[in-house]
Amino acid sequence: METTNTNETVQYLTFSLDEEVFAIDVAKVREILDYTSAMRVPGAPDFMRGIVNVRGNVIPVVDMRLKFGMSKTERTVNTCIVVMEVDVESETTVLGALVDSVQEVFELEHGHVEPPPKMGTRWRTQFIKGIGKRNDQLIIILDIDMVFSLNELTQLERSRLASKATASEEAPATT
Amino acid sequence: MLDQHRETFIQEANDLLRELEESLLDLEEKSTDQELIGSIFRALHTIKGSGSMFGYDKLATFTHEIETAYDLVRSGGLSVTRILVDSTLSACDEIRGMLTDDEDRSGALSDAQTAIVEGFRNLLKNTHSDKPSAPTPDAVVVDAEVNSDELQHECTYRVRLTPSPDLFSNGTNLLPLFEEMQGLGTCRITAQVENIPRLQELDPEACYTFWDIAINTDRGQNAIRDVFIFVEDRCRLEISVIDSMEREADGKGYLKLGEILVQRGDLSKDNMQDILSQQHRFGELATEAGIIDHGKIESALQEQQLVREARDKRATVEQASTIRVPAERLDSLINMVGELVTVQSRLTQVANSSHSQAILQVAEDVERLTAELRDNTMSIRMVPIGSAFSRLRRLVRDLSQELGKEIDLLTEGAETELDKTVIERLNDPLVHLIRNSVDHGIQNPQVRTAAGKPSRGTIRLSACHSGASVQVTVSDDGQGLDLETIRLKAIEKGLIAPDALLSEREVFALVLLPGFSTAQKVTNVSGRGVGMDVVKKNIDSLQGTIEISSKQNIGTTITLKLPLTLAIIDGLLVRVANEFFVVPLTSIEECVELKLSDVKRASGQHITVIRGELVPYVRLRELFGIDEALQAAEQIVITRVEGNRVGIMVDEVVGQHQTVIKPLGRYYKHINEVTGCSILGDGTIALILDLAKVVKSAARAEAANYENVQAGSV
Amino acid sequence: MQSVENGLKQNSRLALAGELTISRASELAASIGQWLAEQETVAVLDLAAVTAADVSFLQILCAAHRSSLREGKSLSVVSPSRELLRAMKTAGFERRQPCTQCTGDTCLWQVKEGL
Repeated sequence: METTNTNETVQYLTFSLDEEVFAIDVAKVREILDYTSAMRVPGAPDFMRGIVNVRGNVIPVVDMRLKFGMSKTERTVNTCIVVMEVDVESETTVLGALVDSVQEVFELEHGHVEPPPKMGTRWRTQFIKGIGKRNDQLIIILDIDMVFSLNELTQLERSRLASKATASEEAPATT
Repeated sequence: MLDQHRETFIQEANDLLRELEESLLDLEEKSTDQELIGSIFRALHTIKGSGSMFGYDKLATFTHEIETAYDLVRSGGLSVTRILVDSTLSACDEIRGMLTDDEDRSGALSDAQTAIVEGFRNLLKNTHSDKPSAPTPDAVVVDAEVNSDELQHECTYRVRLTPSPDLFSNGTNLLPLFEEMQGLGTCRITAQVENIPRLQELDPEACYTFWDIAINTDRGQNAIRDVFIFVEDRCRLEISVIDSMEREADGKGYLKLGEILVQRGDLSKDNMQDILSQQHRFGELATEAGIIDHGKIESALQEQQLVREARDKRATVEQASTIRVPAERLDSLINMVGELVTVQSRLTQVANSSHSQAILQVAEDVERLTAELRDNTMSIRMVPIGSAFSRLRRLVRDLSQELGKEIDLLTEGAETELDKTVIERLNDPLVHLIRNSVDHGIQNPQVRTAAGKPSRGTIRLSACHSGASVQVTVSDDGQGLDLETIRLKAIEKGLIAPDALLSEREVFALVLLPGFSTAQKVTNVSGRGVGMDVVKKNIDSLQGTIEISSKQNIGTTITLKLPLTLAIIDGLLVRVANEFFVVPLTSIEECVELKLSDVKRASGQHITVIRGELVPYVRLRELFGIDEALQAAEQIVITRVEGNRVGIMVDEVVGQHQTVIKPLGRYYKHINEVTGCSILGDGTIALILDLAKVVKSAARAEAANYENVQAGSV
Repeated sequence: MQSVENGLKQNSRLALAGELTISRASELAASIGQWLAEQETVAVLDLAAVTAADVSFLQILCAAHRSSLREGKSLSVVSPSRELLRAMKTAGFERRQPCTQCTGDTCLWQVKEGL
């Protein structure tokens, strides 16, 4: 699949989660929206923040921080939703990624992208397409098709409804 | 480009095959119905014609053999027999197979196909020997079209009426006859006056005129003959078919003026060639040359025009009747209309707060138009349920033959319309239900007779609208369900406790549980393992309900209640904290307000008393983990879920809400409690609840809770 | 026979009335023939009062017209009644082109555009 010429450049959009900077192929990005609160769908994993209405189309929003094992995204002035097109099971699906902030678009020659390290990152290597360098900063280039593959997103740690049952026993104590 | 056309062809061919099967099954009962025979012939002819156009040579060759037989049936040379119908039905299956086999479109026929072709040839052979003389191929076609009493489709005929001179002597008036001709169809009459002499030589009581008539009618040649029946012995009447749908389909353009005249014998071929060699308008040249009377040309022109008009009419009728549109295009239209509905309700909100009469007026107009647009768009997706019924007839016929049972399938309400997707997804459950009725419901003729029933069983399949849903029932007059057998089986399978007290309805509902099958022996008809639970699952996924009622030895009735469409929902909009949900209106019985004090008294047992009846309820707030302070009063929506009354407790019932359903998408496919969502006027999203699933997961959560409490107290 | 009497007075103009069908064919052919013979150049048939006509009468008209052509006279029909026009139409005598025998613009059966 990746038979691109080494001199070919690709444009990347970078965004930050906590202190880390990630990049995704601009071709995958459809638009960037200001934060809007999503309608939570009961029973879905926590990182599936819910659904939002984008001009009459309903798209799911994924909390990228939760997805990558960080704390839940808190709303700031910079918080936004990156709407992108993901190939899932050879079909294109539109999906929003909730991120702390969007930074810039830059070009990177293919030759300047290094393969993902086998170990030593906090991130699962199958999510990483490669590591790029930009102003001496390491940028993790994500394979978003993998990040958002159906298995990844529908895999339930535990159904919320089931966890609710355990939670509710504490409820009488607090009220 | 070609592929797209080929796809259309395959679609159309499949439609035709379905009609064909339908007609064949009808033909079994009405074996002399010319209309049926005609439609079978036409369907075969079309499949053959367009098949060869798209490179399905094998299919065309094969179909041609069958078509030939029906051409003979049509002309009365071959009669309809069980063998003929059987072979044709198997031929339909082969054709269907050839349509899907895109790789091998022009190869050799398979053994099975060759056997069918041989079968048809044998049928034909037997009849040919009966015929006194074999007519020339061309004459066969004409005979076939001309001889049948009632021609079922429109043809254009050429009629020449030549009265003998003494026609008027008995007071005959031709005018009423011509008027009668006009009544048969579109008709052009041209009087040929070339033989009328000058007044001095005229015998005023003799007839010098003859007529050329071109008529386009679906009544057949005999109807034309009948018009002139009283003058028959004083007239020469020549009738021939000059155009028909088949001829047009064969791609034959209509005759040129000169050709018409030569065909009629009004002009010799040599003369025509002479005239044609000069590069002028034929009509002018012919008359200038004095070789033909103006009247003859006049009538030939009339004939040409009539044929052209008839063809145009057929073309417009065909065009106007249906348009094929890819389903995706419809879906996107419906999506856009959904958005428009949303925008429109926002407009109405803005207009209401603007206090401008002019804007309010516009908003009202937009609202009305949007509602109409929405209804119309929805209706495009609606198709008659009959398309699902037709394949079931074949199923009943084949199965009952296989099992040695005699079964009639009666259908009612085939014209009932519902959403195309619903119909598509209804197919499998219906097949299953019918199979069940044939296999388990209706007994063998001997058993039936012994039980004092007619030996022929009946399965009744009916559909009708009831409110916003469609009710489909499958009922048979078979042996019915045995309550005790079901109960014992359920106990044996551990589905119910041995001492469980169940109502009749509850016992029948057991049949719908996974793994339940009451068939005494496993047959290859109903199969093993998959039972009514699959049907139930299918119907559930359609937001429908299923109910069984049965009387032993009388029969079983299964009632399916389905939404008209999956694209739109009539629901009740409710609010919990600041989240909105839509509860399908079909399952709602009433709304009751519940005071905080009532909740306290029930102390988390999730049961309340409504007019003396204990009703369990689900607190959405709790179930969905919406943590906010309790309201002073909450409302309970009382619903009926799988036969039981269940309350759904919410903060507020906002009101009735009709909306376009939007799917949540594949990332939420595993979420059961929510079937989709809907966008409210202000852009907020409301989730549409699947009540049965909500109640089920509430029960699960409660059970888990109970266990935890138990564990905690130890 | 009032119609024929009336026609004799004005001579070049003959008005026919009533049911002109096969039962009167011989008589009509004779009267028209006689009247036509008396005309020098112009002959006008007034058919406004015709209440019915059949093929036999249409043939007579046609024959009369053919005679007049042969004799170099001009025979024309004025104000044909609705019944007569209907008979012409029903029996297919109407046509777009003149008959072969008719010269110029005179064919009785020719339907002019816009009529």
